[in-house]
Amino acid sequence: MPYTSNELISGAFYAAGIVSREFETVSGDQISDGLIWLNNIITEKEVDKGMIPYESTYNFNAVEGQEAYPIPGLIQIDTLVFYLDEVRYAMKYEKRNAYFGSSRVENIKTLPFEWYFERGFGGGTLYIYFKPDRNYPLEIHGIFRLEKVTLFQDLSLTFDEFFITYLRYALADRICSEYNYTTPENVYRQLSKYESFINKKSRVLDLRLTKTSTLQKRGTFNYAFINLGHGWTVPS
Amino acid sequence: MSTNNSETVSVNVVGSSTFGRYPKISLEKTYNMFISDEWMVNYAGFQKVSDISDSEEGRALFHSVRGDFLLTVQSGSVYVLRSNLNPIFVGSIGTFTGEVYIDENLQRQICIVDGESAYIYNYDDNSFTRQALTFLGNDIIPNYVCYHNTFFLISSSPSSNNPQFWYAFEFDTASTIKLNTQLSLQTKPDSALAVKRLPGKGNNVLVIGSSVSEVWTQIGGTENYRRVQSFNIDSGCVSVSTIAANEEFICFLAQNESNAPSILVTDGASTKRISSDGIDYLLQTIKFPNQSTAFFFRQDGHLFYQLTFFNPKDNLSLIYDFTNGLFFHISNEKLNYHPARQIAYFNEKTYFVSIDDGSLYQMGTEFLTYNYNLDKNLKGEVIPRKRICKTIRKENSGRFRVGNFSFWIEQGVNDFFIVDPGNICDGLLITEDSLDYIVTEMGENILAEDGQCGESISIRPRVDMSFSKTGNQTFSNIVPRYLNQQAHFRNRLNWQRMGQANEFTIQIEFWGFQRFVVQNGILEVY
Repeated sequence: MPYTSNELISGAFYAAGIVSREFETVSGDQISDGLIWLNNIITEKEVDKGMIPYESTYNFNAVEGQEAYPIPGLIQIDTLVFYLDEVRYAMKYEKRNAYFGSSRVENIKTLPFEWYFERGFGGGTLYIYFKPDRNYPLEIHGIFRLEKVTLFQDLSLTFDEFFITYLRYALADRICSEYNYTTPENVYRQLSKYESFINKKSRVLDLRLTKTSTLQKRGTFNYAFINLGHGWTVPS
Repeated sequence: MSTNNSETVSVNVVGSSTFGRYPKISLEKTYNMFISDEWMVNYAGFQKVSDISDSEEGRALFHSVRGDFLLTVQSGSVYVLRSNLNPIFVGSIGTFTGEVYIDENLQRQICIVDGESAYIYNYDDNSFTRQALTFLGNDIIPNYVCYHNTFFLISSSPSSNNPQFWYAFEFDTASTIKLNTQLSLQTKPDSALAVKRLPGKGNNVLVIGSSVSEVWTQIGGTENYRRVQSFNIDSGCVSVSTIAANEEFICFLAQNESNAPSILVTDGASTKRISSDGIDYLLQTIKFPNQSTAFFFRQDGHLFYQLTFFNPKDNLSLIYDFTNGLFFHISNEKLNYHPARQIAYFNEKTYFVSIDDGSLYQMGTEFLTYNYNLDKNLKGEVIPRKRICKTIRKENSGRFRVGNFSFWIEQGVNDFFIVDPGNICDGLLITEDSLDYIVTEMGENILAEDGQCGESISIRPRVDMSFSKTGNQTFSNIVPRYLNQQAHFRNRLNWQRMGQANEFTIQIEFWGFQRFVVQNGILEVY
């Protein structure tokens, strides 16, 4: 059943006790304010990424010799792979000081096996190393920011019912704050319940242990490593 | 259910019409209800009891105590009604509209004054005679009549040659009266518009002009009446039809050359204004004060002064409850003026004639509707009962949210029934074998030429609530609460979640063919 953003905003004003459901209608100004505050709540999830309920997949092609790739709306990468022919190859995440601060050869173009991601305005930038020697197809699996909504948008096409309900209570709480009222106790209780549902539970993290041998010693780059294995090793 | 962390504010569901000069000040009004023992209850309904004539205007109703009958003027015709309330035509008068004044003397004469002429109806010989009243060869145009100490005291129409004169007439023959004394209004240059007995004040009468009123005492002899030297009222009446008297005082819509209209009460020794700022303003806006009427009406121990301005441009009826000292609005079923013009208490019942038709109605709180049918089994029209409560504001003009509003109301003690809403049609065409209706291509029923469809109504009693958050300029949607069936005595109505405001006025409307007994309410704000 369609559920529009206007209905959500009106419902939030009713729940906040600012507008009466039976006796009045939410005014145009209130709907307009409500939309701004609703989009505030939605975009805040870029910071509090635990409250984004969905993982997404993003595909793009590497560019030969290019290390940095701006990815719009990307908040967090959970996995990154590239494809060579019909084979998917895993890539290894490097920490910032290891990626940017360690010694490395800059003139080698081969299979990209390391990556690092940094948040930026409107999304983030993905760095890959080695610089690719071909336009390898890359696939990101991660969290992307939620899109802002517009008036009369059918939210049931983009959000599940539980998340719409959460947004309604969250907006009611925001409205009370904007109008300098205390949030009604029942609204606050429902909001807390939904927050605990959604926060890191709706999108379950993969917390399985990956063992890393502290005794293993990886060899330094050499001719054979680059020219025969093209620099790729199984990520630990 | 109460609202968490809320504070309660009392709402005066029980209250009167104490509205202010502007809606922002107060729009507090009560329609067709009054206060009894601090509960709000329904004001009188009425039931038609006699179709007197097909005239469009009842002009007067008089109870002859000695003759034991009612006398009424309908348009230009005069009728007598005895205990069976069957009208008997007794005569015609020369005018067809406007209020008519009637009184009776000890010689079985009833004097009728219509503002142009006086008539004597003698119920002994059943004669009805127009009187040729003159003073020093000049015609007297009578304006008002009142019996006092054997005399018919007749005042002058403002269109008379000497409107300052008033006259004492006495019995002449069975069908005529003759002039005894001519007197004149003295304190101010004014017309003597009406003379009225001062209730309980023996020989004293009140002579009412348009800007002054004087108390006169009957002393007999050739002088007959003498003005009381020490007292007069510096106001006259706007319209003689607003003059009414009960057993204690006279009440009328008063004015003088300096002041706008207000309602004045006098016992002949003192005066009192019974208006409020809002009422005074309302009375100042009256466009046609002459098209008015007023009477006293006692019901359930309360004494009401009922005042009506029936010109469509004014369209207003008020009652003042002398028992509680409060004003209320009253109306007909369409919230227009109340139709009662003059009332009479006869055979332990109160009757009135209507401004709008030629019928006689019985009036009382035992009637819960306005029934314009002689058939008492028909329910009649629903009386619109409405209450606009006092506006609720915080001292600091701050905003607040309204969580809940509730009040006490009597339920489950009255007849209760519902007719399912829907179309009821008479004259639908049926097929030859009478099994099916004939329908159009679109499946709609076809009516015979004389057939008709009417929409039945649901008469389930209910209370509607709406509110204003705009200083009484606009009101919200109406949200109903239906009342219980018989024997379901739950006695509280409530509405939840009414949003935020910094001023909040509740309007409640009571609908149903039943009585309403209502107590104050509370508002929960947070």
